[in-house]
Amino acid sequence: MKPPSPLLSVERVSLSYGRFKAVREASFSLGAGEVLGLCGHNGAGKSSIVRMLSGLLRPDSGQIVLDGAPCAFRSVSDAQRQGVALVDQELSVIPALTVAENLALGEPGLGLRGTLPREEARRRLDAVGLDHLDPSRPLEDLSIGERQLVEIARAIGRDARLFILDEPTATLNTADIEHVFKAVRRIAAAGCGVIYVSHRLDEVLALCQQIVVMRDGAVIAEQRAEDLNAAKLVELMIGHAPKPVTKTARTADDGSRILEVSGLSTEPTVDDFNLAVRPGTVTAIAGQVGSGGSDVLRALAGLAPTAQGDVMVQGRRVPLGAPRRSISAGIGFLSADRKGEGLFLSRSISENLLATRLRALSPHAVLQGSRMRATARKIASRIGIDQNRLGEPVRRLSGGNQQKTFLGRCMERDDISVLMLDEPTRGVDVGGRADIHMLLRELASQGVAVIFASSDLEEVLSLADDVVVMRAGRIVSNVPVAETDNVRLLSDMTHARLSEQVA
Amino acid sequence: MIINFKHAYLALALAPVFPASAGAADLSGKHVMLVTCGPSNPWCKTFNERITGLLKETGVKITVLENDLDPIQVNQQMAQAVSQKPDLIMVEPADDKSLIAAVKKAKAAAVPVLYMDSPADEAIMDDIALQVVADNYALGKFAGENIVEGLKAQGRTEANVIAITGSAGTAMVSERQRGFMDAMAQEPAYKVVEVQANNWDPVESGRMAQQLFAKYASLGGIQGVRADADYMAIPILEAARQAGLKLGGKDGLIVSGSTCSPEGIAAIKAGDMIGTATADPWTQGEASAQAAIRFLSGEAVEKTVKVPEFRVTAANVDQYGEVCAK
Amino acid sequence: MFALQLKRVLLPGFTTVTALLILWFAVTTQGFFTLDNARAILASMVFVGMVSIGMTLIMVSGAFVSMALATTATISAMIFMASLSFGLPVAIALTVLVGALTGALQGVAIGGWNANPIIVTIAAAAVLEGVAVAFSHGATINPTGTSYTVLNAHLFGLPVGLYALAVLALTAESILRFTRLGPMIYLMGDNRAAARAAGLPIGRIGTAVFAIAGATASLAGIFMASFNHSASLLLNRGTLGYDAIAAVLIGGAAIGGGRGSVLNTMIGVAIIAIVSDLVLLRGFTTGEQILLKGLVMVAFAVGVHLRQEQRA
Repeated sequence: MKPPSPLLSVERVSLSYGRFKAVREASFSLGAGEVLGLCGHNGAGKSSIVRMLSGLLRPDSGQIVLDGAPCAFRSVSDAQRQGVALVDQELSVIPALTVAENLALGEPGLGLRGTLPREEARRRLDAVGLDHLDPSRPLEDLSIGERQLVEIARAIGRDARLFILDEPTATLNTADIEHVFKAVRRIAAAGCGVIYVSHRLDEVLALCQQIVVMRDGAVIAEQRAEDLNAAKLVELMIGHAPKPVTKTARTADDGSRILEVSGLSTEPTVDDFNLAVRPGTVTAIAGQVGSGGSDVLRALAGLAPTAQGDVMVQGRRVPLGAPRRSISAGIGFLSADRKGEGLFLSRSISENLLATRLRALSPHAVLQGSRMRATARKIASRIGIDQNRLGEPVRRLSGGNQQKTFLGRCMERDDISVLMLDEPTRGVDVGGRADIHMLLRELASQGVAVIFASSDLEEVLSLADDVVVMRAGRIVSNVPVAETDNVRLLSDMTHARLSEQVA
Repeated sequence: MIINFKHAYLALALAPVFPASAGAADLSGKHVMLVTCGPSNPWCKTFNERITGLLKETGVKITVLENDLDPIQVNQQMAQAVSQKPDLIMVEPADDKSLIAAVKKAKAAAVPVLYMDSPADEAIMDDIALQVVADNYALGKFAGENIVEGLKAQGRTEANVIAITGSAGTAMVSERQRGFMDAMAQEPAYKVVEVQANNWDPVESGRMAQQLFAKYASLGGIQGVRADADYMAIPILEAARQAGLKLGGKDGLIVSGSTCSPEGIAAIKAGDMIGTATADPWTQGEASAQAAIRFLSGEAVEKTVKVPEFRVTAANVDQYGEVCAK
Repeated sequence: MFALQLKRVLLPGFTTVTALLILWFAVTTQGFFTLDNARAILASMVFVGMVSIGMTLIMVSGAFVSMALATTATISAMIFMASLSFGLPVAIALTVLVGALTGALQGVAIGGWNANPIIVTIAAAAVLEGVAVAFSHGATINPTGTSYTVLNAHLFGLPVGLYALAVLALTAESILRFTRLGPMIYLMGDNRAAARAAGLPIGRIGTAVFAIAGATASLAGIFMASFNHSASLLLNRGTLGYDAIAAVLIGGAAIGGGRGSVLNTMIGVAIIAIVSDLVLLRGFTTGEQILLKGLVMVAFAVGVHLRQEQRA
């Protein structure tokens, strides 16, 4: 039952980018006190809806009605004034300021470094579960997860009526996710509306009363959450059920080791990390955000200047601290920070695919155009990206295709024997996620050792052969995937005794 | 020998203005601050060396503050100089108007100011102790005379003339231009069609000349050019060659420089340039230093010392070649 | 919605209107559309053009701008004049080598150690100027012999320097397009952290970019010295460095790096040359000329960049 006059109604809204129709006559509504889940593939039109609701873009046709009044937001600040708060992955908090100063940003009557009364700052932080946090700490001391919560806290302070949370938990650990959930429930209980955009279907099902599913720019379902389950949602989103990843048959251990790490430490995040990996296997380093998994990968990739320890690839020692050394030793790395440290966003897909093999493809100083084009086409077809789009800037691709492009950089190469990925499917939709998992299994079947760090239990269990669990910078357990399950994993990640650690 | 000759010449040239007694003064214990243009300018280099050289002979303590002829910098350095309470500040201005306040402050602090090269603004005439200026009007007039003489020798009944000058903000530049226009007025058939200023920039002078040659190519062409310094005239000569113009001679372009330099003297000797004028840094520096010494010795010095200037042409180039080469 | 459409119409209109204004100015300016003037404009492109080639590479590589290129050109002019006693070929080679080396040193700091390019290049300019003062004692450096005058010669009515500029521009554009260094410069400019993670030799790329920039600036200095028949720090009085930056921006290079082309920069150089010529020919005073030139440059640069924003 919907309330008679909804807080928000989106009425036959359409939006095109050039010839591409991103949103086609989408309609849905949201009542006060409700949480609405917005689901769909990357490219389904979710982001466009979010951008229109937050004032970044204006619809070509149709209208947005807020509290019974049609509104045309002229800008983001205009939308904010009219009661819309957007919290997205591109954090708009300022690292150089303190928590309290960040909370006061955009507050009427306060300048850039103005502060709120201490009790007010406290109240807002408590509302998102940051009750332990000192408001006078500089934001740059906080984890990404905590920064996100500060951002949500700030939106709470703006007396917004409509909250849009765009993938708020993509970078958070389980404890922080719980805080976000609490915050969302409190906002809704206070009579506001919340639009919750997430790839994590379990979250959407747990948190939302109403779920809107989009596909190819159109709203294809608007249903009560209790009438849906994860399987149905996935089917609605991609039109068919996703194929399970097929794992290669586990070969007998012949004792060969492609990668051996012993005594790896990076102050202060990783302490005495040891690992041996056989060729052709997929190893997960599972752990919550900040548990050290991604720091291990970064150290092996040569991106941690303080790293110490012995690393051998195919029996040869790899000096740490220089990315080029790691790469020439055969270690490929895909950062979790795809935009900051991975892709060249305004350069073409083709250039991004070939960035790491310029020397290999053009051994002499002159570029070999035809060879490069052929290679780019070959990789594109393997990762499933339209070959006609190779000249387009990567910026225009969806998150899933961006990640595939990033991955494509380490494919079709015989000089990579160890491929490491940090959060390989963060911000990637269900379909793209399945594709990426399949590509990784394929690489493993060719003899590459794949190692990934992830906080996503489902991903760890479905993709990995071996699972290393880390907590607080140390290894908690290291077992074949068959010997663990999500209950054991979660308990290892969150509260196993450190004395149980295995080498 | 050469040095001696030079001194002899200078003594001759400057005799009516500067009594020879000045050189013998002992001024140890006195402090002079010299606010002047910096070493990136060859003219200033010689000018500064001449002043400091002569002053040091008298035992006076001298502090040099150099700038890039940037009015803001000059003002800062003036403030700095005043705060040191010296016995005299000698200043080479970058812009006359912008120095008014600084000179008034010096007056208020009872620090005498010797204004050099460019005539001081009327507003501070009572505030400065004295000024040693080039006879800028004469310098401009000489350029005009050079050009008129050259054009007449070519038998021209009419001609277009352009002037490319230094920074428009100083009285020095406008005085020279006034002298030039007065000289050109003697021969109304020769028209001054363009006057363009730049920041004493040789590269820019060349560009301006080249584009003005093009502009007037279909309007009777340019027959004469005045440049405010020899180093600005040299790229103008090159611009003329690039534009396919002949230089000097029976029907070529007539170019006159000023504030003579070795390159200019060479161009006159080669017949590319009709003439130039003094206001060379050696003479200018010597005159300023002598006036300062006399002032510090307590002698009565006239308020405005005008340095006599001389016209240089092919006829007397050997005579001036050396002072210009300093 | 209305505002959005307004923007769509206004932005392309903005550049068009500026271009039309200039065209109208050109048509109504006496002596603009003549062969002589075209030659004069082309000739005035040489110095700014050469410096802006290096500036383009620097901006594309993500190092923003170099504040040392104009000084490099001036110092090179002095080195060139001083070394003419060894003969013209040696003098040119030596000057370009010194220019490339001073550039490379800055490149090592900026590319390899990630030093701030503005600070490094401003410091480099100060050091270069200091060294020049120390060695020349502020005097004008006069050439030995007249061998350099061949650089002032003409071919088919155009100065040799212009042909040199064309060759340099095409070479630099070819480096960007057809050599392995080219994509590396673009990638590093687009995202330095990603380039490092991808194992690109960022130190070497930065060094190469600044060395090329130093070399092209020193060639500008060689032609400047030849034109002036002598060299002193007076050659540094003008707006060479700023004009080069403006040309690169008008040419549409991304300020943050990763986008730009030398040939587009040459269009920027031409626009600046045309505007400088127009304001001179129309008889504006020096102050007005500087103001108008500045306004037109800002208008073009802003117009070009707004259009690119829209396309992205």
